[in-house]
Amino acid sequence: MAVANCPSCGGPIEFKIGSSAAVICDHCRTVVARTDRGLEDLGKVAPLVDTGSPLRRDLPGKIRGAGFRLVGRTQMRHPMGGVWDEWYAAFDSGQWGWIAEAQGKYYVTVKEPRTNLPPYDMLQVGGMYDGLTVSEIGTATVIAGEGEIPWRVEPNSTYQYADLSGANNRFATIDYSEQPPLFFDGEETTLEGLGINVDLEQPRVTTVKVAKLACSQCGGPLNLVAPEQSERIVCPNCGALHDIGEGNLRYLETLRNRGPQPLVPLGKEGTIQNEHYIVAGFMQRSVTFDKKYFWTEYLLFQPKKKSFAWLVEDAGHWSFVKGVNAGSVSDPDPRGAAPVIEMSGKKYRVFQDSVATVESVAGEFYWKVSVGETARAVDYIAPPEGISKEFSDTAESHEINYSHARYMMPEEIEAAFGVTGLPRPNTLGTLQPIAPGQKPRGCVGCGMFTAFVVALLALAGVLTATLPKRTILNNHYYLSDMANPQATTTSSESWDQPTTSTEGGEAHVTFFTKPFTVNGGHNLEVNGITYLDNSWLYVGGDLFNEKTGMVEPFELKLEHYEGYEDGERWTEGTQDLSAYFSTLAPGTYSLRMEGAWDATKPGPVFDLKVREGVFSRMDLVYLGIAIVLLTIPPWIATARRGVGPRGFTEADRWRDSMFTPYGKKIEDDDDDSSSSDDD
Amino acid sequence: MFKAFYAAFGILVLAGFSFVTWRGIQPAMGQRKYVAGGLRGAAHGGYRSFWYSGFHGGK
Repeated sequence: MAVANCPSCGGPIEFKIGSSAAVICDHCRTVVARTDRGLEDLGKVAPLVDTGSPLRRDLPGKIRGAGFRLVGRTQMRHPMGGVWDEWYAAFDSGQWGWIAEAQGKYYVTVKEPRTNLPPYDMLQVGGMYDGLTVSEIGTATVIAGEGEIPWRVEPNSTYQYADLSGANNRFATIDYSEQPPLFFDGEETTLEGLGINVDLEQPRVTTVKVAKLACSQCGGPLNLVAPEQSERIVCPNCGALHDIGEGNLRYLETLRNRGPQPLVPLGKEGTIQNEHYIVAGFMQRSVTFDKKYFWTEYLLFQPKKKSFAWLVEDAGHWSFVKGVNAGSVSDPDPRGAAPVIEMSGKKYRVFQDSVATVESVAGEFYWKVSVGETARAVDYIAPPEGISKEFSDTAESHEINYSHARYMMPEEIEAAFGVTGLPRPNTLGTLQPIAPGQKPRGCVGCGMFTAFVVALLALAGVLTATLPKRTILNNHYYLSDMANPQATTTSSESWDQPTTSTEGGEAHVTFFTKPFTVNGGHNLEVNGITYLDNSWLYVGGDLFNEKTGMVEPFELKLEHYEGYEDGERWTEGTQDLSAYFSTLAPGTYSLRMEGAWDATKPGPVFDLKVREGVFSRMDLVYLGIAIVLLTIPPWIATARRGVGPRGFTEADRWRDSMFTPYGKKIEDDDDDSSSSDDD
Repeated sequence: MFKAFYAAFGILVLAGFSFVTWRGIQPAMGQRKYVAGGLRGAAHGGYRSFWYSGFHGGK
């Protein structure tokens, strides 16, 4: 142990580890390097950003039996925004370990001698080195630190790095801050894996009170649920986008496109897979093929682990998404769209390769999100699971991120977050399983609908049979005789003072029927039948009540034409028509009839029949209306609940895929490629 | 909940259909009017005439 005084403030500094290269003064944040010539002042670092880390200096741990103690850390700024911690672990053996902590994940590495490391310029995300996949390359900036550091920290210095991951949680970093570059090999782990029981630690108090921020534009509250992680926040009231890096609120712009409202409100808490989450952010994204297709994504924050997950909603279908180590995915073409990839023994078939665009954002995000931001996404499916591979490229960094999705029903989301009324899907979801024996989720209330229709038809039959259908007038008129009163009438009923005339080539006759009695309470049918030969007969009439003077008109346009044309016989018109009168009051009624026909033709014969209480054509319309009305509740209930997978096929699922095996076979097609080997 | 609602709704529709069919309710063929003194006294031509109808058959 070496104790000295800070060359900047004179305060005591202590080199507890013999191999540490620098100490950051606890009093003035000066980086003091240990050199052959003594102590060197490398400048001051910024105050530590509260990242909400459960780790602290002097915390002991144990990895695979090797004890260590955390002696210092640096904080790095990621090129996409955000800060991560690099903790330095001094092992009992004298070796140094690096523990990187970001978004609730821990990566422990130790320096390994390598001589064949690829130059930074030659690296590509998705590329391979030593069996590892390059998942990210970028430039980091040292912004803060504390304690003892095993390397010469220069405040605000930048260095290039590459993160690599492999099978069995293997993780490695190539550090290009020195020449030749340094290689750190290790694994992704957990607090438990580090031998640290976080529950025994004192709860930490957030020093940056960003949770109490107010919108700079409208003054509305900005309720941050992940204040230590968030980089951007959009005011839910006015759409103002703010940078909140390191607790400082900086207005950027007001987003014009506010997008849809989240179905699960921001700030809502819920439990998925026994983990507690808070809805932190919400965004709408789209892809464009023949047109734009939209979906929404909910950023979920897990307070205990300080990590994030996603809920994705697409046309009523939901999936729960968590990031996975790139190395855990066996991807034959990391930079492309291999037909099949594999993870944990399960094969996933490529479904889509597209560029997703952020259309709108609300709430908070752990990176510097912006509207219009694009990322190439390759989706693989093995319902009810899927894997998405996203490429994020900026001038400063290139990343490839794999995430695993599991299908969820709207009912599960409602139960998880205590919300109601989520829309039900009417289509087959990309990840929705079609399982044999699955509970049918067809039409809601269709059994009752069928019963009602049967009852309705039976009712119509009963009504038809029981309606009175009382014939109260059945007359036979020879209109020629009526037009020629000198002739002998053969009518079955004498008419009451018919008047006739001929005008403009038309013969007219007006007459009254004898009064008839209507019992009332039902409709009345006036039926006219004539016998025409290429001619017409117009009958205009009035039903009238002899006592009250009530008059209701009607007309019957009768005609019949026939002939031969191009060797075919044709006919046109009808000689049998009815008019119906709505429910009548009981009483004595008569018909005033006016007939007109072609005067050059013989006056037609006209049969008049009046019936009370008949099943009319209108009743068939009522029957149709009743059936339509009966379909409405099941239709609404079905739409709200969703049709479900019953009745859909795999071909339906793949209809929107650019890699559909139905009609266009993909390369290296494998019949069981999307099946689960471990199911 | 849905079943109870739909049962009530369905019974209502059936009852409505039965009522309009039994009663013979029709859309009005024309407006019902009241002619003071009765139509018989207003004839012939005094009440109305059909000449305006213009119907001359299909040919």
